[in-house]
Amino acid sequence: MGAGARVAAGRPAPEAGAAQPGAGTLLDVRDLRVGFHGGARGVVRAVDGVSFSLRRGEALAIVGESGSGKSAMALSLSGLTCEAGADVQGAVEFEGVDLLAAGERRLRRVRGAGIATVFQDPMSALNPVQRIGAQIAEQVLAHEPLSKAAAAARAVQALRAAGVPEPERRARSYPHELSGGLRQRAMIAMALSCSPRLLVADEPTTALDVTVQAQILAELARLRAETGMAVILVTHDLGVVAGFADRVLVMYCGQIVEQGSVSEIFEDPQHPYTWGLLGSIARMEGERPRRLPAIDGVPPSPARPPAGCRFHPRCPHAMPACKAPVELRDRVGGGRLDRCVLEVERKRALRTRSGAIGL
Amino acid sequence: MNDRGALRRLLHEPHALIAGAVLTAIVIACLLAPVYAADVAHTGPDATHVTETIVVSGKKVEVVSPTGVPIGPTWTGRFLLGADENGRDVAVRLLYGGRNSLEIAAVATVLSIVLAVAVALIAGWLGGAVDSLLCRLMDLIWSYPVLLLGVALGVTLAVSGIDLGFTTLRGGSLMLPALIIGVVYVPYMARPLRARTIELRGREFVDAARQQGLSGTRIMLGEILPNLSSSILVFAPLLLANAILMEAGLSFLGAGVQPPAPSWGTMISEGTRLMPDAIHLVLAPGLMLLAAVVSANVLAEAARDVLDPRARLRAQPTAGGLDWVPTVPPAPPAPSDGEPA
Amino acid sequence: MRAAHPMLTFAVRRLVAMVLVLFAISVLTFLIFQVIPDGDPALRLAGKFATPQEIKDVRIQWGFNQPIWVQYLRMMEQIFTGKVISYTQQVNVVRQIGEDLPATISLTVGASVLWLIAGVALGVVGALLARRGRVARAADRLLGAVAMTGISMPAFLLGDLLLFYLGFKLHVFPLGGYVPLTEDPVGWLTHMILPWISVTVLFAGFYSRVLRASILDTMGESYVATARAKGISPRRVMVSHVLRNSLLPIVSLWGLDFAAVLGGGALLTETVFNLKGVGQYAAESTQRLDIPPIMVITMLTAFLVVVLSTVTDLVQAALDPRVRLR
Repeated sequence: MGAGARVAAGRPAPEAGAAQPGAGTLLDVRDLRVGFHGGARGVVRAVDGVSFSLRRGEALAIVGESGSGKSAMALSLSGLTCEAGADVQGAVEFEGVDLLAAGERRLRRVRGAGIATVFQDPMSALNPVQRIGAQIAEQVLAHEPLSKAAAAARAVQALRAAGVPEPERRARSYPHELSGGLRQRAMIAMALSCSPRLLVADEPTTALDVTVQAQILAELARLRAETGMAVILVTHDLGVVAGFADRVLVMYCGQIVEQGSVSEIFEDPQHPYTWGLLGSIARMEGERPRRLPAIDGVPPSPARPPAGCRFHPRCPHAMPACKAPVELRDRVGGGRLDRCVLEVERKRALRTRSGAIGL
Repeated sequence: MNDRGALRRLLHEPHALIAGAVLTAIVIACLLAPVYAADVAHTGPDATHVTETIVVSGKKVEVVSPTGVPIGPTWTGRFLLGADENGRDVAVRLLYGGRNSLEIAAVATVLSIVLAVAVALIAGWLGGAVDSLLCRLMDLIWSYPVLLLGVALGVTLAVSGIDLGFTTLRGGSLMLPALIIGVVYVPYMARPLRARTIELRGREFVDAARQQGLSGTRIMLGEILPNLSSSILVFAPLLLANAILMEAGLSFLGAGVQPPAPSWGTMISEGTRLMPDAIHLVLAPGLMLLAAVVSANVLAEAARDVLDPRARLRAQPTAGGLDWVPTVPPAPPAPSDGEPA
Repeated sequence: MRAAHPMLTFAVRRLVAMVLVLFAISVLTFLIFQVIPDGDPALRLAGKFATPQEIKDVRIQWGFNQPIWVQYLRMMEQIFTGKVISYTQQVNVVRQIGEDLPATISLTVGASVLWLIAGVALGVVGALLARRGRVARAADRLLGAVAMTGISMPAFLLGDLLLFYLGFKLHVFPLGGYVPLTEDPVGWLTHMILPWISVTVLFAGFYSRVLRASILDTMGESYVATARAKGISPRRVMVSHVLRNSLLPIVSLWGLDFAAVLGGGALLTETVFNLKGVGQYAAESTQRLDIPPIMVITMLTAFLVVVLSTVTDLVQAALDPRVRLR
């Protein structure tokens, strides 16, 4: 893993993996709705009434299949979907300021410095005709009154902190001269260069090799521990969540279907969709090699979501009650939420598939 | 891509519909030229009325004044769009000329498509030396000033005709300009089609067909050609537009349709000589030609957006009026092989 | 292991390519006029009423009785020593082109700057409008229609209409012809404006469509989302991330079109405006089937295209680190 000096970025680092109880709320999202104008098909509701909050330093994973609205949700937090013609409603309060009501200037001050974003594919997420160092320095200069030389030095420092070997040389490289893993480290360096309080990582490892994926996640966890920033990790793979996040939010078709701590989600999942996701994780301890069960059917179009529980057309345990609207509430106790009307004990019986959880 | 669904979406594009309607209307009007000439204008495309007079809103007017200035548009059945210096009915000649222009353009387009598809399939499929030879040949034709080549061929062949072996084209035949235009536009379409063929050759379904023991010819015609169809559909109206423009350019320089046969290009050329006195001789064929070319280009653009949206940069009309070596915009550099073309 | 400096390899490659292209173009032109019927220059040199003996004399005098390859080599020698004489007017072709060049250079330099500016401006405005509200999108459609009309306009029709309305009717501009810049700068300008407008209209529409498509594609790239996520100003996102990348295809287009017009490619425009430039000379020579000027002009065009494409490749490589020179 990347050697070299580590950046001492501001705040003292809290214990990794646990935000102290009572620590201030960093982000409060209330009834967020994101709609895209889909031409003849009307407005497509990519995100349909999502509420959650995030404490300082907390790591939250947002999990769901592609098309569940998780990326649109993550990007709309700092207003990045607005410019693509999306209609965003609700409230996103970051450090007490509603970003959706804030003006462009205010939003720009938050982007990069308050909320930094790492995108999925590091090849296409870096400008191909600019040097890595210049791309990082551009962000630094946008937020801090530094000279160009100081910003360039900060870029090198950020690259070193993100575990990029030979950061001085890499700062002068162009994106196409770097490997995928290095490029993603450069993206992370850029995101962290202004010491953000929140890092939104949108599928940061999906485009990378499996071995590099683990490195990048470990790097993110280390940087989080060192800087004390909060992280929102958007992923379709529950497998990468276990060692990383404090809390998990499972999304399906634009809505949250389940929310709880990592241990709750992995050990006592309430929603059948979560069972399905858990069942499709490759397990090392499985004795005989078996086919990974995938969830049958395809995700519904957010343009015309099914009535009631949106998962019921694909759910083997669906019953007539599922066709009526199901609210997201605490059904087990302990502050966790889910959107399934099955009885808790029945769920525990139904979800066991040859010793493991599955749909 | 489902081509039938694409066609339906094309019909939902209002500008595509309008362009298609305008083009169809022009074609039908030109096909009905004999009817118009006989029943409305009561004259033929080559009939001269220099010494005659007609009655326009109660007054007797000479078709061509003693100083040689032809009558302008009367907006009535006879000489609707005026006369030319030989006292011929411009509206009648416009429709007959359109038949010639469109016939040449259509034949040239079909010829270009057939030759381009053949070149693309052979070069893309065989690869190696054949491919580089054909590519160099295409580059050479394309880098040659097409209009010069066309004019040179047109001027000589207009007099003597050409013996193609299986058939002989006499001088003055409409097929001469069609042949010239059809050949010089082959590279315009063959190069992108070849790239697509090479792309398709690496796909699984081609491997599968090869595993089944299908011959190269069968795979080319049965597997690859159908997948080229959407590109062909995008290029066809572009080629048509270019061919109409090229015919006009050749005829303007005296190397296309030979007088007294009318075409839009020859009519503009003749009108230019009489210019300050009779602008209608330029405007009538000019606007008709412009309408046809714009419609074809709009149709091509709509087809491209629906059938092959990624080709936005690749399938562009050549820059206007064919007044230079036409250049096809290069594809934006791909991450893996970003060499200049 | 690399034997030579990459720039040296590139330069040598391009020089070799230029020689090959000039050779291929000249052979092609020469052969076309040998093969086509009625291409025999002796008939035209001897005049309409020449006796067979006179034609024979001309043939021997000009060397048309020798093998084709000897004739080709003689022609090439004459071209490169600047001694090539045209068949119909029997003037020195190189000197004639030298006299015609100022008009063509005036046309090319002025028009290429204008069409680049107009094309880029229209393309940027169109792309910006395309992503706004209903009214803006309608304005973008309108711009698209204007551009499409420009693209579809036959060069001579546009020239005719400009001459008629601005020349004959309004007497704003002279009715064609060329006045040297050194003799009368104002006259030069008034004579050049209409040709410039004409060529600009034809090109700018095309450039604006290419650039608009390129900008819209670039705006969908995720590095533009990254740039916005950095918190830099929208103007900076547009200029240094979107435009910086979407202008790349325009560079090589512009280089090739510049070369083509400079090499006499605008033969219709030059003919309509009677500019007496290289393009008009090319058109007239072709109509007369006068081989030497056609040889020289096609070779000049090919030479310019190779030179300009080398220059644009260098510019591309400087602007885009992914481009490798070959």
